[in-house]
Amino acid sequence: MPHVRIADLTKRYGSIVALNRVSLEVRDREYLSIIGPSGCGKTTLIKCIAGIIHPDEGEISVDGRNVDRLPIQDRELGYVFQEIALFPHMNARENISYGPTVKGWASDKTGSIVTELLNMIKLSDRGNAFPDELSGGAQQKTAVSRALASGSSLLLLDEPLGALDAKVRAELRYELRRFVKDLHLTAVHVTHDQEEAMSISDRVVVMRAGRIVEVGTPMELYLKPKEIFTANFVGEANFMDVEIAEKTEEGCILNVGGLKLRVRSKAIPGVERVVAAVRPEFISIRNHRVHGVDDWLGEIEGESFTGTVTRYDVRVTNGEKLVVKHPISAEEPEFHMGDKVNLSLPADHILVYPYPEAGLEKETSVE
Amino acid sequence: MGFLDTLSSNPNARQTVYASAFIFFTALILLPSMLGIFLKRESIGEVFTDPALMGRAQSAIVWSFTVAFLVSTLDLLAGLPLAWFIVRSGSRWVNVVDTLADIPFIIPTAALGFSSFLFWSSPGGISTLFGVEALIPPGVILVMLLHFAFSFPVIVRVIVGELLGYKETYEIAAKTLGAQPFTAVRTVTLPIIKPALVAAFLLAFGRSLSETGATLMVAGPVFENGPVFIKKAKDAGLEGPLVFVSFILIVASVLIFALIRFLGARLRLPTGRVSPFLERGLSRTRSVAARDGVTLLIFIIFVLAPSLFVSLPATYALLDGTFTEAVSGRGVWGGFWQSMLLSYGIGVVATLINIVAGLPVAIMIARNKLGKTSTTLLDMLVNVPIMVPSVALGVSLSFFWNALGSLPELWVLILSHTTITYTYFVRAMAAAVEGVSAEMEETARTLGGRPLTVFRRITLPLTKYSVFSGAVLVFTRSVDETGAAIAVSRQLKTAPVLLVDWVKGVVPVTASERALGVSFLVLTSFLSLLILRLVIRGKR
Amino acid sequence: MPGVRLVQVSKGFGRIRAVDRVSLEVQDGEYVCILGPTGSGKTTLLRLIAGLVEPDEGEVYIGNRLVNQYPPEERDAVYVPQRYALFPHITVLENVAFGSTAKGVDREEAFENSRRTLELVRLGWRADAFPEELSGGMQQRVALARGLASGAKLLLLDEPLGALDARLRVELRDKLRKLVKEQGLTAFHVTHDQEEALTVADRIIVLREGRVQQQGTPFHVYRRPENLFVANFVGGTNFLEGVVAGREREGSYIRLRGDLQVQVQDISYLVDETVVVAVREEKTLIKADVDEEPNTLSGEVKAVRFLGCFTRYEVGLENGDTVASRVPTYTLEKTFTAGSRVKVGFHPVDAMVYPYPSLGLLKEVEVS
Repeated sequence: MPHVRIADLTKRYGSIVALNRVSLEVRDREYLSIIGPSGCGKTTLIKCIAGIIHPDEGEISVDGRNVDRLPIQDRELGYVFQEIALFPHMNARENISYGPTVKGWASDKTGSIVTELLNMIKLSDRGNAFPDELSGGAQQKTAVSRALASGSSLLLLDEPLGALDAKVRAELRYELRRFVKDLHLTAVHVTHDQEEAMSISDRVVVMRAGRIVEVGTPMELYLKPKEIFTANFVGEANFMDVEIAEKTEEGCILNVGGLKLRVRSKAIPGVERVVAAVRPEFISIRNHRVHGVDDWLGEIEGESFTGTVTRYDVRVTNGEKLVVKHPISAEEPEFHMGDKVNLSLPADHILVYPYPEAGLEKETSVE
Repeated sequence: MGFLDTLSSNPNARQTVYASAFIFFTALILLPSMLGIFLKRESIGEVFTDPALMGRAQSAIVWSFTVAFLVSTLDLLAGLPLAWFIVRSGSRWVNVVDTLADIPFIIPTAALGFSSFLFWSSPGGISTLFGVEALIPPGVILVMLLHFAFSFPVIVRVIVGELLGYKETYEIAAKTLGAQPFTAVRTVTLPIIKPALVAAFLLAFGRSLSETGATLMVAGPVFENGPVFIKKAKDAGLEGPLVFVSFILIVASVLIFALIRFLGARLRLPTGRVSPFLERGLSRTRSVAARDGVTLLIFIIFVLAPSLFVSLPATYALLDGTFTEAVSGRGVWGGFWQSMLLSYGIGVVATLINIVAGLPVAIMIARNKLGKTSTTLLDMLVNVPIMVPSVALGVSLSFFWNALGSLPELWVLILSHTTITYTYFVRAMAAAVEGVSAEMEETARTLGGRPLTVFRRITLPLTKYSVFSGAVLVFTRSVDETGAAIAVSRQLKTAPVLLVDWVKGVVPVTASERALGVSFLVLTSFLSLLILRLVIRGKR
Repeated sequence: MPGVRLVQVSKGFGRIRAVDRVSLEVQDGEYVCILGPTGSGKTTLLRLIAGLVEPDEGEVYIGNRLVNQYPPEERDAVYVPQRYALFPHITVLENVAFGSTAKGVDREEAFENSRRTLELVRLGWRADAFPEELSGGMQQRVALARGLASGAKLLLLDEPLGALDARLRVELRDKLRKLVKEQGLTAFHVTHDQEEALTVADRIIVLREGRVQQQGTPFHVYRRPENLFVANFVGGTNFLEGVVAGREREGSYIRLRGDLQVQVQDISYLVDETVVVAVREEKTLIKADVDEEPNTLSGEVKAVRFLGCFTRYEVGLENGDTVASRVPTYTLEKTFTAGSRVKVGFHPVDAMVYPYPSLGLLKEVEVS
């Protein structure tokens, strides 16, 4: 039985449709992330589950029970806010004890749970500190513990790491997952950071303009996204406006401004005008003297160093501009501005989509 | 304008402006208020030689503080639920209640005193329902009812303002943790808005200590608090007791304010045991409705009705020919309109002086120009004029200026009204400037804007509503003022002071004339605050 | 010609030294990133250059002019805060024109210039809108245009992309750099995101607790971190504590916990010295087979994190240490699952060695 079931959820604010007939099932004990650009409805969705916002239409059930009539305080779930929202007039220990206290639990039972949680988040010596005396990361961990203290099995997280530095975010996100998995919880985690979602989730939901675009495991969304928007939003991609020259047994051959591109894929659209997408790290780049069959010749127009890889902007002879990510092997970057290079686009990693009605730029816009 | 702009880049020029404003504050506002009493310290000896007089003086002081404390506590208890209703209930009556809650604020306290007297103590008021001549005769109870009524809107306004700015996220967080709405408010919201509650309490406290004119109207023959005693001492020509009581009032007020501030910050509201069952019951819609009902009832009976009651006899006055007399200016009305003119004239001058002199000080406070500790000190000093009962302040001021060599009575009046209202303007302006992020001004500077340019084009437009409302606040408070005016007044009488004489029978007038005179005062105040309301609503 | 020069600049607030004897030199036209964790003094440094705070000691030079005594409006350096501080009561066009009109430029001319600048950021069509009507990304562009239109030569950007979504940030950072370069301006770009800094900067200055940890090109800072903090803050790094066991011409032998031995090329440490061996996660190789290569350690996969471009394996070594290995997704011949026994290793040339810090390893690399 799914832990949470959402059916045809709709919410309007005047003429803006924040949620447009959204349906979703959250499986028991899964770590589910919801990603999407600002305004896509992900925060509205999670607030509806919590009861903070009331939907205009649709149903929400938790553990098989319809919760639409239940007020926030009776929904028995843990919620972590973007602004952290630790009570400023209480110290860490009192904050974490709040849930059990208002539910009337015995004080020794509360005390031992709080001690256990403080140990788990490695803040046992900071129990008496007030929120403004704690670092951002410590505050967030305290907020998570507070949400879990009364034993709810469903944890909702609204951009929980948004207020933190990049480095701290990257470390804390794994702790979040560990927490959730060790305690056998179900988590719904809203974020705008797709790398964060992918690194810790069992499944990811991609939303846009009030609708769910696609749902899948991180790998599925990254390697075989079913929608152009997903291909662009989750990771980077090069997009080419092309035509199908010939259908083959294993896939097709595309005509890209005169050059051929072989595609090995089962999902070839029926139309002629399509969009080919390939991720920058799948394109191999070699010195122009080392030439392979089906290679494209191009010239380097830009390079930038990002630590683990070098990004090259390559202008191919057919006019296309492709971004290539190349791992750094030697001391110096291998190629430089103006160099002539050969690009090889692997047939297995090329995605083909029908050309979108709204136009390519609009379809891939992340604003 | 260009020359002034360039000049503003010069740090010395800026220092001069700020220094001048500071000197103005110290030399013309702070020191005269404190020193005048000091100059007359020898006369205090008079009191010590007369045990009966000493007894009266002490009892007056104790009554002042007792009444202030009790009334402020009751106001807080009654005002908090009403403020809550206004901000949170979402009922369609909210706008009506919001406006009505301001009414006692709009009505000058002198008018309120008279209206309360009519409502509670005269045969034409509520007393007829109970078959007595005066349900609550003039005395300590009536004084408390009066103070309760005029401090009520102050408390409501402060708490409403705080609640509007309060981040509801904290409450929602508490609810997600399982707290019933009542519990969430009790354990989370109230502790967080505690500073505002303390501030509201202090404002009500200060108002109760200060108020003179209306209290005189309802004190009756026996009851004496500080201001009543001072007035009687002044009329009797007894300088000693006058100075003594003023002195004690000043010192005690400052100490008690500081004490409440200090304790209030440390006070941890009792969170007590949480009883989920009880608190769930209290959160139910029916309980909330009942609570709202009781709150509104208290508000209507004890605040609204007494405040508006004077409109009844005023309406009769319209019909029985008093009105035409009044407009023509014959008889007592000649003096009345002169007093009105005086009040309004002083109001305008005091407002202008406060804007020019108060603005730099407000900026100094808002932008921490003197460093943390000095700014806090300045902040506290600026509060002195409202901590101290205005009647005591008036006494001190008149001694100070007379000792320096006679300053015309008019100027002493203007200075006392400016002093009383200085704090209001500076507070309002400082809050407004704080609301404009320093970052915005800084960015404008780096874009090439000189300090004066930035002030004109960025800060001022963003705070102009506060400047305007600060000005109107100062103006109405000035027109309302009775305490200092009574203390300073010799020949010239401002309108509220005149009305006190009318009510107490010092000037023989008919009942209709009394009612009408009071109503004129109310009407003009009402108009100015209405304009303020419209302007602010327009912004929102 | 140096665009900006700081000589031993310090600034304290109460007991805290926000900026501690910082010296730096930036050439005209350079795009410099100031990188560091929250509280490292980056914003204070920017404000010192802008003239919004006065230094306790040290000199600030802008374009060879000593500007310590100059107020902000005379420094030709525009400060753009993280939340942009767009003036809410005037239109986008009036905002952008502020820098010119405040200095007395004729209104018509200023507006003309501003329209052109708005076209540069592709927001000409929103000239008459008010700031609150625009999205976050658009507001950022208006703030930038406002800085550009003022005619300033130096841009001081405080976390310019911080308020934006992750995906938008990646898209806009290149555009931001391009625009600044096209206009020939010098820029200081403050950020806590090392990936952002590595991508856009000509030069990076790493700051921690008010002090400069390292200055250099992205390549240099990444490849040759000068201390443990930089090695940890920039990029993902594994740290292994150990003692120098032997030293020869080609390299040193380090004995790790649990008597494991690895070989490194660095020979600057003496035998018996306690050191920390640092290896980048992408240089930490992971294999299933038994290998005879030097520096091969056995362990068990504790967690697998899919990061899109890379897959990151957290491996618990037999001696109790934990290391992470980043493998490009597309080269994955075989994926490992949690619980698999694996071998991890690295080439001696990829190991960086540092002295063991007196405060302990955790405190030395602490970021929060």
